[in-house]
Order: sequence, then C-alpha cells, then structure tokens
Amino acid sequence: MMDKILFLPILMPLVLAAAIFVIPEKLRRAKEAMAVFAALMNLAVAIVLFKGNIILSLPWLGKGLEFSLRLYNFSSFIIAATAGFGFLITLYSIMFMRGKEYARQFYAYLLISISLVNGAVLADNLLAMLFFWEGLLLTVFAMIAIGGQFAFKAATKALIIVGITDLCMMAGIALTGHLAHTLTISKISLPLDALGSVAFVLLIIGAISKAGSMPFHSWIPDASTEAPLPFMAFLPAALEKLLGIYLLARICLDMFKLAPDSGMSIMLMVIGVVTILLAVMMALIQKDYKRLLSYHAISQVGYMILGIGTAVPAGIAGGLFHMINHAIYKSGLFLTAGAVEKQAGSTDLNKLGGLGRKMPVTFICFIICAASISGVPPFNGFFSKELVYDGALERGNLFYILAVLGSFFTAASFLKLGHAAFLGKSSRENEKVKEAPLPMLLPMVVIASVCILFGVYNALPLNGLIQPIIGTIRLNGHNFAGFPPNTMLVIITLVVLAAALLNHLFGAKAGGSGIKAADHIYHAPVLSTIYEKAEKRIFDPYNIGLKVVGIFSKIAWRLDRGVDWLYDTAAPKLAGISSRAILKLHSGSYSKYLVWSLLGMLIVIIFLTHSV
Amino acid sequence: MFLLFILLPLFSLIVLNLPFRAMMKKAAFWWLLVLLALQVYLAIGYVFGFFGFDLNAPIYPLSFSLNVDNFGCVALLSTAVVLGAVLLAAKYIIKEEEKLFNFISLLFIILAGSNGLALTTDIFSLYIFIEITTVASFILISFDKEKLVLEAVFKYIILSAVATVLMLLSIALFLLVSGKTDFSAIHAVLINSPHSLIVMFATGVFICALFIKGGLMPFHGWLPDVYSSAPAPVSALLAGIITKLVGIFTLMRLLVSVVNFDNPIRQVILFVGALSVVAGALAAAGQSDFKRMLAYSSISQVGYIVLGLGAGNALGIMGALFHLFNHSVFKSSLFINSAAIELQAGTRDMNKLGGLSAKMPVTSTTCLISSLSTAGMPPLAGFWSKLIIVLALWASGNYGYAALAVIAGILTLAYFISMQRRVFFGNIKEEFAGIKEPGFGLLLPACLLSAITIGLGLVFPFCLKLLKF
Amino acid sequence: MIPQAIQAFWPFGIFIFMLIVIGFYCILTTFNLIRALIGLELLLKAVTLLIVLAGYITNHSALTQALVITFIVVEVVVMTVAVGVVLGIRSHNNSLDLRKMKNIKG
Repeated sequence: MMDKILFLPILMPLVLAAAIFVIPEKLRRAKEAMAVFAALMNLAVAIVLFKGNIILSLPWLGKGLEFSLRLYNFSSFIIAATAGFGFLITLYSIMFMRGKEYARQFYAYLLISISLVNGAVLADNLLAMLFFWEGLLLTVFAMIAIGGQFAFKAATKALIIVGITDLCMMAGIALTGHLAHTLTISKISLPLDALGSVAFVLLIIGAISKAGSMPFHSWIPDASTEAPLPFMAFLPAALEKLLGIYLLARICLDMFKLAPDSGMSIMLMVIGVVTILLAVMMALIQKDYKRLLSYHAISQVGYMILGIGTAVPAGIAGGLFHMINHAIYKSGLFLTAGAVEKQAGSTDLNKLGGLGRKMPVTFICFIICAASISGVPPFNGFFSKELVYDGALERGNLFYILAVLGSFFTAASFLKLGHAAFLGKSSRENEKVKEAPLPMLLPMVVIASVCILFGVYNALPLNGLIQPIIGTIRLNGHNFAGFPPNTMLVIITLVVLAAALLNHLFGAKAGGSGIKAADHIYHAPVLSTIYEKAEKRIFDPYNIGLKVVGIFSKIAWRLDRGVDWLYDTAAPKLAGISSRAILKLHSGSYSKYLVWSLLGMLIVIIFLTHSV
Repeated sequence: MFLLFILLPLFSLIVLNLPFRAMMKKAAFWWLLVLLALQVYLAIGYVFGFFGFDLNAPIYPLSFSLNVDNFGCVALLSTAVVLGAVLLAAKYIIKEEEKLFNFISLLFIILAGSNGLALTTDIFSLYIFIEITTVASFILISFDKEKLVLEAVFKYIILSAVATVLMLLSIALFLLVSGKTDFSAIHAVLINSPHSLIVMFATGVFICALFIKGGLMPFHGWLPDVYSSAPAPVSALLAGIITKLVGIFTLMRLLVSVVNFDNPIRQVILFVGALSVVAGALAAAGQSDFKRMLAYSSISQVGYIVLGLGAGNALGIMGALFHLFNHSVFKSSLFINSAAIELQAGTRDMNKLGGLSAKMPVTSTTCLISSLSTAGMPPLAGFWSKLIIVLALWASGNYGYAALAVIAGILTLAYFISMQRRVFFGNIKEEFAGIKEPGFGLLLPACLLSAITIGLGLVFPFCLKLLKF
Repeated sequence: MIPQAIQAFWPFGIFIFMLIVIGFYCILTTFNLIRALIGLELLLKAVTLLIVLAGYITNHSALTQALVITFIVVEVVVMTVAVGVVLGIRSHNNSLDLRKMKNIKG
C-alpha cells in the first residue's frame, strides 16, 4: 500500500487542475485560491516523500513494459524542487494574472505540467517516462499559445522543435530497449559501443533539447516575449532544466557508462561550451529584458551540460548543483522581470530606467540573483561554477578558458541589464511606478534568500542533495562542500569579474548610457556581421528547416499539378478527339457501312482460316 | 408445351385480325398483356423448378423440335419484360385506335418470332424466326412513315438482308458438311473436323452476319440511324429485344451449341467486343442527340456482352446472359424516358434541354437509375453483370481486355453523367417552363423497369441459380 | 466427299461466287434505290443456288427442297417490305436517288 502513495504527486495536481477548469468564471478568487491550495498540497506531498526510497511497479503491457515508478534521492529531490517552485510561482501568478482572461487555463496548465513532471521524474520505465515527457509538449504549447495573437506562431515553433527532438528520443528509447532487453531505467546499463553510442546520442538529443541548449533553443527567446511571464519563470527557467538535466544525468550516470576519455564526453563538453558562448553573445545585445534573460537561460544550460559531460566527479557535482542553482536564480530573475512588466508596463530596455529607486525590493533581489548567475562569491552560482571549472580544467585547458570567457560575458550582460533597467535616470513614463504588490514580492525574496543560503552554507545542498545522487563510488572520496579547494581558480574568477566590471564602465561611458554598455562588443569587426545575421535568424535551425520544407512542398505541389493535368486535361482531350474522329466516319451512306462490314468480314475470315 | 409460346401468339394474331375486327381492338391490348404475364411466370417458374411435369413433351401431331433450357428462359423473360414495357408505352403514345391495333398485331408477331428464336434447336428454324422478327421490326420502325425513318429503315433493310445472305451462305456450307440442320448434328460434325477450311470459313461468315445483325463495330452502321429515328417505343423494342436476340443470343447459341468454340474464334470475338465497347463509348460521348447517344451506348453494352462471351468460360457466358437481360431492362427504360422527354419537350437535342428534373422528377430519377446501372454502379443490377464479365475475363487470362472493360466503364459513367447533367440538372430554359410529367402510361413502364433493375441488383447474389446451366 | 464434290462441281461454285460479287457491286455502286434492291435479289438468289448445290452434293433432296421453298417465301416477304419502304421514300423525296438521302449522319 505504501508504494501506491507514489501516484499522489502525479494524480493530485491533475485532479485539482480539472477542478480549476470546472470552477465558473464568476468565482475568480476561488480559482486562485484553488491554484495556491493545489500547489501547497503538492509541496506537502513532496516534503513527505522527500528522501524516501520507494519503488512501485505495476504490470502494464507485459514483456518488460511495466509501469514502474521509483522514488529515490534524485527523483525526490527534483519533485521537491518542482513543488517548491510551483508554489512560489503560483503565489506570484495571483497578482500577475489578475485581469488577464486566460488566467484559469494558465493555472490549470501549470498544475498539469507539475503533474507531468512528477510523473516523468518518478518513472522508472522508459516508456512511462516517454508518456509523461510527451505530455509536456502539449502543456508547453498551450501555455505559450494563450499569451496573445502572435503567441501562436511561437507556440508552434516550440511544438515543432521539441516535437522533433522528442521523436529522436523515441528512436533512442527504442534502440536502448532493444540493446538492453529491458526498458526499466534502473536496470539498464550499457556500454558506449557503436550502437550504444547511437542510442546515447538520440537520447541526449531529447534531454538537452528539453533543457534548452543549442541548437534546439530558438523557440525560447520567441516564447519569452509572447508567453505569459510566469510561464517563462516556471518552465524554461526551472522545470525544463530540472527535467532535462535530470534525464541527462541519469543517462550519463546510470544508463550508459560515460567514461572521461570517450568521444561522447568530448561531444557533450563541446555542446556545452558552444551553448555557453553563443547564447551569451546573443544575450549581450538584447534590448528586451525578457529576451535577454531567456538567452541567459540557454547559456547556463551549457554549463550544466559541460559539467556532466566532463564525467569527473567535480564536474558532475558542479553540473547538478548548477542545475538547482540556476533554477533558483533564473526564476528569481524572471520574477523581477515580471514585476517590472507589471509595474512599469513594458520590458523594453529603452523605455526603462531608474527603477531602482522606485522598486527597491525588486532591485535588491535582482542584484542578488544577477550576482549569483555571474558567479560572484559568496552566492550559490559561484560555488557551482567553480566546481564546473574544476571539472573542465581536469579535462582540458581549452574548455576551462572558454567557460571562463562565458562568465565574463555573463557578468557584462547583467551589469548592462541592471544599469539600463534600474540605474540611471528614470524617464517620464516611469514617474508613477511603485513597488510590486506583496504576493509578487514574497516569492522573489524567498528565492533571493535561498540563493544566499545555498551559497554560504553550501554543504546543505551538496552533502544533502547532490552528492548522494552521484554516489560514494564515483565521488572517490572528494567532498565538495565548503570553499573551493583550488584557490587559483577562485582568483581567476575574481579577476574575470573585475574585468567585466571595468568593461562595463568603459562601455557605459563610451555609449552614454547603460544600454549602450555592450555596444562596443556589438560593433566589433567580425562579431558585428555575425550579430546581424543572427538577428535576421539566418542561423536559426528552425528557419532553415522551414525553408527546406518549403522546397519539398513546392516539388510535391508540382508533381501533383502534373498528375492533375494528366487526369483533367490530357485524358478528356484524348477522348474528345477520338470521339469526334469516330463521328466524322459515320457519314450516313449505307454503302460505306456495307464496305466496312465486308472488310471486317474479310479480316475475320482471313484470321480464322490462316492457321488451317 | 413450349410450342404454345409460339403458336399462341400466332393464332391470336389471326384470330384478332380476321373476324370481328372492331370488337377486338380493345381486347388485343389486354390479351397481349395476359400472354406476356404468362410468359414471365412460366419462364421464371421453369428455372426455379416450379413445374413438376416435363415441359418439353411434344404435342402431337405437331412435333417441331424445341427445347427449353436456361438460355432460352432468359431470352423468354427478357422478351416478355421488354414487350410489356413497350406495350404500355405504345398505348400511351399512339392515340388512334386503329394504329394502336396494328401496332399490337405486329407485336404479336415479334413475340412469336422471339419465342421461337429462344426455343429452337434447328439452324434453319433459327433463320426463319430471325427473319420473322426482323421483318416485323422493319414494319414497326417505319410505322409513322416519316422521311428520316424511311431513310434509316432502308439502310437497315439492305444491311440486314446482306447479313441474311451471309447467314444463309454459312448455313448452306454447314449443310454441305454435315447433311442435317439440327444443332446437335452439326455440332457433332464440327467437333470432329474443327480445322477444315470450309468449316472455318462458314463459321467466320456466320459470325460476321450475326455481328451485323447485332450491331457490333465495325458492322454497326445502320444502328445509330435506326435507333434515333424510330418512334420511341420501337427503339426500346429494338434495343431491348431485337438486336439482342437476333444478334447476340443467336451468337451465344451458335458458339455454345454448334460450333467448336476454340481459340481463334474467341480472339475474334474478344477483339470485336473490345472495339465495340471503346468506340461505342467514345462515340456516345460526343453526341448531342439523346437517342443517338443511347444507340451508341447500346453498341458499347453489346460489346460487353460479347466480351463476356469471348472469355470462353462458364462464368463469362453467365455474365453475358445476365448482362443481356440487364441491358434489355435498363436500355428500354432509358428509351422510354427519352420518349417522355421528346413528347413533353418536343426536342431531342441535349444542348437545348436542361433543368428538367424539377418538372419531371420521376423521369429524371428513372433515367438516373438506369444510367447508373448501365455504368455499373453498385448495388444496381448492372454492377453485378459487369463484375462477372470482368472476373470472367480475368479468370481466362485476358488481363488486357479486363482492364479495358473497367476503363470503358469509367467512360460510360462519364457520358451518362454528362447527359444527365445536360438534360436534367442545371437551369431550365424558358421555353420549357410549362412542361410537366407525361401521363401515367409512360411513367409506369419506366418505374417498373427501374424497380426491376434495383431489385435484381439487390437480390442477385441469391438468384445465381437462375443462370446456371 | 467434299474435295471430290468440289472437283465435280467447281463451275457451279464459280458461278455462285460471281453472282455474289455482282450483287455486292450493284448494292455498293448504284445511286438508284431500286437497283440496290435488285442487287440484293441477286445475292439472295445466289445463296439459294448454294443451298441447292449443297443439298445435291449431300444427297438430301427433300430437306433441301423444304429449305429452298421456305427461303423463297421469306425472301419475297422481305422484298415486299423493302419495296414498300422505297415507295415511302419516293413519296417524301420525289426521287429514287440515294444521294438525296443524306439526312442522318454522325
């Protein structure tokens, strides 16, 4: 009986979401109350289940396709994190969604997403996990699409990109199942030989695409401007990272034996580094608060992938720690963006400015979260990034250097953002802006404090959550809690941060305002052409894919026209011509008819008698 | 017993015409109906085995060699049905009593001739009955003595007489070879000497003669003219009985019972059949005269029957027989519809007609049903017969011909739908604004025939016994 | 039997064949309706002769006589009807010319 409790995190949010759909429009407060209640219940369940170790296995379709759920330290951790974020975002959404007509759907989809994520995380059978994973496609689409008239295109783009990668993952699951003869995740353990690598790559594609790394990232910036903001704070920032990196970790740690020298590991690291750099370069030149943050979300995933890809204990620990840290501070950042949007009415950096005085609490939370993401000690981002650097350095200097370069740009970009939005002179439209209401402030403050907590007292997450996941065997006696052992790295980080600050000050003076602080990078020789092209979405794989599809459909259309012509024009014309010819032959004179008959008879007779 | 089928009409004719002519006029119509009903009943009854006694017992002292088998019964049945429809239509169309009486007398002759044709077992009697039927049809066609009709009839006479000559030529040669005129005797001789030159020659000539009488391409020259200019009930009669029985039924008889039906003959028949199907359909597609289009369509359908024959297996012959019956039914229905249109709208030109379905719903519906049956649309009867023919062709290895039959079916559908659209659907022209349905006399036969088509189509799978032989 | 018969009676065969050819030639190349009918008659008589020949060769004289008589009767009927039709045409067109009969085509 005890194991049936595992159904609770999956079913309860679903049921409550259905209840939200059913509540009539009039009782608006009831909807919000229900949403908060649901999130709270979910949190309670998560806390109860925390650190549990339960396995539930139900025979389903037979032949290894059973429906099994497994609660162990990793999955319970993710569930707790999801529940926590869910509760905070719901609380935040109460104020944000007030007055928007899609509120009811939003809460419902939110709860459904939580339920699906719980299911995907708990699932121990690849097939069951796939089921929940795919379900997320629909809720993501729905939540983006309700954002407005242009949102539909962004939602479709998300659906297509994530859908295609999900197909790859399905192929990977099939191949894995075939290789391992079972679909139970905890029982799979495959070497990375030829076929194994193919399965690995396919599965990885699914995982990192969900997490939002390059080259599957292009829907996130578009969604960020169109979708409702709490969605952005919840899914791309938190849930998807949690889920994607969770699966990535399970693939690399449990299902396949990712060795430090293998090609797969190098591939992962390359993906990670490329993501870090390219995304952050794009982030640098953005002029919209939310788009900027979304590019950063993409960039930070690179760190996580890099960390796990190193396959050394430091790197893995760093990657996982970064996962949870990122979820914390990125959602915090998005929440501040939401507050700004709600109070000042816009997220265009050209229009904002000087909000620091008007919205002090928001500003402080922003500073804390921005410092975390840049890797400033003693916040949580610093520690996780140090671990990732450690791991990267163990694998190669190049990776380390590139990761640090990414940090530089991250810091520069956030300095620009903070300056443009919060410092400087406030324009006339922003005169009346006040601080955000309490239900919106509360989650931000909580998150900011967790940033500090996880930073200063980092033994708590590391010893309590992350290291048990990796397991004592892999850890090999390392303990990453406390201050990073390699002081050299710390010093390099501090130097890089200082350089970023200097760069920003220089840029701000040169450009004349906070926004222009990054312009000198923008206009740098090679970079400017790349930036222009990127802004025109030439590099966007989605657009390239659309073009290719367009060519194919043109060809198919031409073929169809050809076949149509054959049926519509050629055949009837032919029939018409022969018909008229026959009619001409019937001239009306019986002698002609008689001649035909006699000729016909002659032919018949000759035919019949020639063989005799 | 079946001799009565022939004798009764003949005697009735004599009786009706000689004494008391005045009184007999009304009686003639009803008596013919009774005879026809009797014929239908007996034909169906025989096949389903209703009768316990042997119907072949000769009636002394008249012993005329007759035999009835399932072939014959189908012919008897279709004769009766078509004659019934024509009778009803004629009663409505021909208003003067005198003319109607003459018409009915001629119908008696045709009845006698067709029945004899169906029942005979002797090649010379076959010829006699063919001539009886044909001559009666000459007179029927030229009943109104209009200019166009006479022209067409003249062509028909010449060509039909030439066909007679050819037929007799081959009968003489058969006589030369076998010494008797009995089917079975000739058959016995022909089986034993299949490839001798004279036999092949005679067979070929006979077949061509039957092609001319039956209206297959390229021997069909008289057919479109005659069908389109004859009065409407007579066209129905021609298309339903005369061409079919005199031409095609005789061909069947010949091939099955008399001649050694081997491959060269089969090839000839297949080719001619296929040619008729395609050329007939193409010519029909280009017509603007309603009845002429129906004539070419008849050529096409007869081609189907002959294709079924050419397949050479039992399935093919069964399909051919069934299609013969179906064709009689739906072609008569179509001609009766054309009579209705011609009567009410005054023209046969399809380009001038249009939108008649609003004013003449019954005619439009029966026309649609018959057209679809011709094209082979399930679940009407035409579908079944065409299906059997195609299957027979496929089973006998003639894949190309089978494919051709199917493709021509599409063409058939095309021109019929085009006809339907031009005549019935669309917008009605002003000059036709006042027309209405023809009277009950024309609607009844059309409805009856359509009902037979639908009923047979639905019931056919249970009726396979009818055509086994 | 037949090959010997052909050897013995080949003149008759030739004659019949010639009659047939003349008959067809008549029908095909004349513009006068009555001449067409005469050509038809020639054909019919040629075939009658053939039947007689066949009967003679096979020694079935009774059967042949019955056949020939019946056939002549039928032929007379056909001809009567044909001439009746020609009369009707004449009353419409006032001539017996075939070329005036081109009203139906197509």
